Amino acid sequence: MPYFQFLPHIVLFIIGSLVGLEASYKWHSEPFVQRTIEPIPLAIAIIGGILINIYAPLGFLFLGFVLGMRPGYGFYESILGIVLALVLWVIL
Amino acid sequence: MIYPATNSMLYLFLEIITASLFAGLLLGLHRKVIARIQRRPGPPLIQYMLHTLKFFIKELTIPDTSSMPLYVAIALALAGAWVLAFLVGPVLLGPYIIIIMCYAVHKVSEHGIGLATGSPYAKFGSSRAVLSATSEMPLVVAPALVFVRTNSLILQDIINYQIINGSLVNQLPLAALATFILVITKTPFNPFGIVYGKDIISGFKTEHFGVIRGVLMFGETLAFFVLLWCFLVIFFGGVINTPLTILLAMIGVTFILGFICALTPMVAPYHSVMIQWIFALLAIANVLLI
Repeated sequence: MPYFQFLPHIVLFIIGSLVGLEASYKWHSEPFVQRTIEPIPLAIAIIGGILINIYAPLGFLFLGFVLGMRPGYGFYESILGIVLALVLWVIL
Repeated sequence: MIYPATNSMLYLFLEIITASLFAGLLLGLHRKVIARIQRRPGPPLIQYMLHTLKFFIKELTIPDTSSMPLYVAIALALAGAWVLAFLVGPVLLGPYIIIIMCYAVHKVSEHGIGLATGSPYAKFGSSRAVLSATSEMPLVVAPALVFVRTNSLILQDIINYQIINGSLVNQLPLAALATFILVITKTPFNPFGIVYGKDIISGFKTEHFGVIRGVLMFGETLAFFVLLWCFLVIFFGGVINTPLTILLAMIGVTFILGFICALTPMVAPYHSVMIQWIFALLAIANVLLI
């Protein structure tokens, strides 16, 4: 079975997660978690949600960014991105 | 997408890379689910993968008390066994019996890895590996029952049988349950994980560092993928038989495993063996339903 057809999706998701992790620690170095929706991750999640229906590996890169952010951050943005992706998938 | 020939080294190599990366993400998801149930933020999804990669660039130290050739060779044997199991099973859909043999090599390797170090903690781990090996009855019972139904232990034949006659989980529910218990035992933080119990530090892996530890973790990543794959394809093969459905189902089962591992304490070694035997006996009782 050719599982490696999903290799680009997985690799780009991992790269997105790594970048998201590094970026979120740069943005937030405080020793507590702020439960807010931030504009940049939200925009990235929306772009990911749209792109995943056009060219899936690139969508995984963007969604990986918000999913891979520092623990406690990017949670609501990720859910919004995934829901948007599912809604678009059903519509299209 | 252009596919290389299915018997080429490039094809097999890409398959191994894909499976190990995906299973690494699954194990990260597993930890995340456990953390969220316990009301912790938990580590990032890629934590397990980063943890594995970290060991490949760490300094390799070999204990003075270790038996040097065995110390290295037995760790490679564990990883090699699961690479073979992965190629024979998920990639080439070959004989299921070879995967069972690879699992047996895994158990022997666990024992040997602990003994090769000369450390008392690792030896405790290896002793428990022997004890837990006595509880692997579901591994033998489930394939026997599958053979009774399908007249074959070739994975391609088992899938074809299920496409025609429906998934085996409807015909052998207790055997499926016993196999699921087996999958649980190979999941991190599982209730039957006496071999990895924190009361014996890190079990048989206590004295393994650097690239050797990385190789061990790589082997365990592939083991998780192969066992999940076997459970899904052998018992749900009527529905779950394409790469996409298999990978999606693996994510679903990992969620369930996360819940189980988060909500159950680790049982005592004796109870671990007894509980698994009970499920194996239930699977044998499934014969009456056939």
